[in-house]
Amino acid sequence: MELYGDQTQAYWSTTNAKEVYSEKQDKIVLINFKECFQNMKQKIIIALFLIMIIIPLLSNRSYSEVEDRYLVIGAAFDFDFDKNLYNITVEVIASEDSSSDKAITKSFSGSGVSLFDAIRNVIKISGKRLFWSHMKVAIINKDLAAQSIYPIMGWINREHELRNDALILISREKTAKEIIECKPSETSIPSNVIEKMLENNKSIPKYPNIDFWEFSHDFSTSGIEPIAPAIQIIEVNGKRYPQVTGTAVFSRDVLVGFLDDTESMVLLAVRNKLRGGVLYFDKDITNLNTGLSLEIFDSSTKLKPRVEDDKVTVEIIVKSKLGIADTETTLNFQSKDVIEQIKKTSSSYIEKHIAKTVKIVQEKYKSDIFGFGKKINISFPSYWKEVASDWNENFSNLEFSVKVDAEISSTGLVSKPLKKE
Amino acid sequence: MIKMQAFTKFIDENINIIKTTLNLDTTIVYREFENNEVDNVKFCVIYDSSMCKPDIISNDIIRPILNSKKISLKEDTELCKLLVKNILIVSDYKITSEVSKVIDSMLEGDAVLLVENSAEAIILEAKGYSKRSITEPASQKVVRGPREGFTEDVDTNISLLRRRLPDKNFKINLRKLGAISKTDVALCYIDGLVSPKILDEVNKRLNEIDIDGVLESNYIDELISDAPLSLFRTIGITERPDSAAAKLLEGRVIIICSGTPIVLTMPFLFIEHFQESEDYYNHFAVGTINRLLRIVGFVLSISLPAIYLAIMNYHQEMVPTNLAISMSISRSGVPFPTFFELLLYLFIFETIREATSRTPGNVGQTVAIAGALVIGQAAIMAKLVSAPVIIIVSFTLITGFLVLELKSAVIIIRVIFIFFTMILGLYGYIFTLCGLAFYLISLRSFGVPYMLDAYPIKDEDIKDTLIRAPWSFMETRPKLIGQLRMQRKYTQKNKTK
Repeated sequence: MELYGDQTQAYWSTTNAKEVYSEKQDKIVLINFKECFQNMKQKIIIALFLIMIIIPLLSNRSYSEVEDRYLVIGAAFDFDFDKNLYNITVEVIASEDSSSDKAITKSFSGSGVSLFDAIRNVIKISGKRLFWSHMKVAIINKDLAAQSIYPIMGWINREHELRNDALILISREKTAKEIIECKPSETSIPSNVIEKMLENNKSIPKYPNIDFWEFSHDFSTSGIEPIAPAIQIIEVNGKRYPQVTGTAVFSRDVLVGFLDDTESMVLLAVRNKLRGGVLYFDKDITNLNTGLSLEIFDSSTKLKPRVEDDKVTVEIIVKSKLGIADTETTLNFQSKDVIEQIKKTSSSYIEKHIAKTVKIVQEKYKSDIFGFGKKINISFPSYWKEVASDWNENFSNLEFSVKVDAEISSTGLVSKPLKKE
Repeated sequence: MIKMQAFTKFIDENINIIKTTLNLDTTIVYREFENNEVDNVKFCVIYDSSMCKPDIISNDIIRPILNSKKISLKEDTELCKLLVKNILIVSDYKITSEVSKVIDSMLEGDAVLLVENSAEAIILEAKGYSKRSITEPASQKVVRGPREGFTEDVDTNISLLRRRLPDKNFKINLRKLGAISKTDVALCYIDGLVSPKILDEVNKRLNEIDIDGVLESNYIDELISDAPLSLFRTIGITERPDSAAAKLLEGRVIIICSGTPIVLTMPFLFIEHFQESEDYYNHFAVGTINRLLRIVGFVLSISLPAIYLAIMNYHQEMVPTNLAISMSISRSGVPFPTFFELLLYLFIFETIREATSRTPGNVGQTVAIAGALVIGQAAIMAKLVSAPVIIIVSFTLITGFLVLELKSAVIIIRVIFIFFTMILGLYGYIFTLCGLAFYLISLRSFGVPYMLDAYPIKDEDIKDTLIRAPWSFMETRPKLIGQLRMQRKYTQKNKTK
């Protein structure tokens, strides 16, 4: 043993690793250039043999031409309670029908005893198989969601073609099908429009933007309950348009109710997802003889749980950066008092609304969609273990306080009020 | 074969010997004459009328002998010596008694003078055939840089190099290759820069050549190359004397072959495909960008159709939705599978390329219009092929032209890539890419690894490979090839090697 050890030592001490490398690299090695003709037959046989082994081992089943399958860009999930059947409607790109290069869509429906059965039954009508990787939105019927959303989430998590960044919505109409088939004009693509609506929710925080990943994360994490944007149809000038508005609230896998636009905004603020939007105060609230609206530039929220005597309280601290967007009459925003007044008004306004909304959710839905439990779990894991089992019950009795710090950071492009001197 | 007779002392017999050897050759002129002063001293100048300059024969050979007053009948070779010493006005001569040598040099354009009473003949330099003048090389044009290109004549080519490298160490070895063609082949190198091992190897391989004719340098290339069956050439070619001189300065060996303007340079590395002479004459940033474009172009031209095929057939989820939509729309109604579309269009475009490269200008245009308009436009309208395929194939073709020397390799490798991608999707593409990399790394050119410096590890290695560094930074010659004297600088004292 010792002898071998010594020898290795000696070898490494005399030869530098770099030298070994350079010796191998920087050497002109001359080989007989006719050697390549010899052994040629042998080499070819070996190469062919290897290829013959590799190909069946790696055979790829997923070969298909792009036009052999329908590209699904949106799907609607319904449940027929009379017949106990799942109904699925998909919006697909109708590539073979488009005479020009403009994309048009059509929809196919299928029904079956299980979700996957329904999906496969779509082929009965469409003829082609469905390709799910480009699906943008999934709309789920509110009655189905009120029963249980589990079958759909289960399928979404299992299906390998689906992407986790597809968006999830809850239909407030009778069926989800009518939303995905709601085309104001021949060429409009409802799924794309809905996707854009949700994408731009940074500017209009009246509904959340929830994708599969976030939904299933909230679904499977204790201390937070999932939410989803709600969608309905409105009629404008005799034409029907899909419209996203409000939030669907879940408790575990069951839909328990909806929040309206303002409540949704508060929900986003508490979840620290508020990045824009408009606040409006009328004359009576501001005490400035003008109503005004403020634009939210940025907002950040911190949840600070505190445990005292086996009782937990959560402090909601909101810091908002606001700017004056429009006023009803002249407003002398150069004066410090006016700015202070606006700050005070907006702070108390936000405080009041947060308190109100959290109370509503606590009392009406008993579902911790704000993620208070998650925060408590992080800060006080041992306390969390005690309350986790019936958290939603504890949540409805949770005490909380709200602290809002609003900052008026901009008055737009003007530095003086618009008026005659 | 008839046994060569030896020359005798009688001129008529000697003429007969040559006549019987070349009995059917009617271009040979036998001009017999005598001196004006002395009778009975017969001379005969024999030459090939197609290869000699008549001026030289009449003014510099016949006239001086006719008018000379020194001539008299002398013993044996005395007269020959007198002629070349005092009378003939010819630049080069040789006196020989071997009939075969006389005939060989006559057929190469020299004149032969037979003299009365002498068993020897004088071979006189009288070559005068028409040569092509020095023009700009068609395949390696530059905007900035010399416009001279090699010609088919070895002497002209050597002069082009000599003018660039008037140094005592610039050596040229002339030899003849080809049993019948007897082609002049010049082996050039700079002594003190070239690696002796490489030079010996080149010489050894040249000596092993046994072929009847060498009509183009590619004959030599394939006979001495390390991998003659490879799609990738392990011997470089150039038509530009400036580029050949640069290769010599890097310590390479070049071979000039008579009858072709294409000169061979060796050892040849893969990265040299992407080094154009204009890189060195323009601003280094432009040179670098152009070089990177060429490298990217090569990669694209072998892999673009394969990647398109993989995405269309296996990985439709990888592209953005809008692209997937437009792809599926463009594919709808097309009867063939994507791989067949690609192969069909590659075939059609390669056919057009081959047709236009041989046809004269105006006909070529017709082919191009028929190809572009009829086959391109009409095929899309008839839904025979989808528009993206035409875009991909056309772009592939254009990128393929970025490196002309690799064109032949690219055409075949592209199809191999398509084939394996069709079976295995992107995996197939990656496996083929790995296989190609292994193969290229296994190649050697005259003992030097083919991919040397193609994957630079040290900062220094990148200077003339992926980028073209400014000249002030390029202080060393390429590794292994310029090993004998790595430093380019001469005035400053050498640092450690």
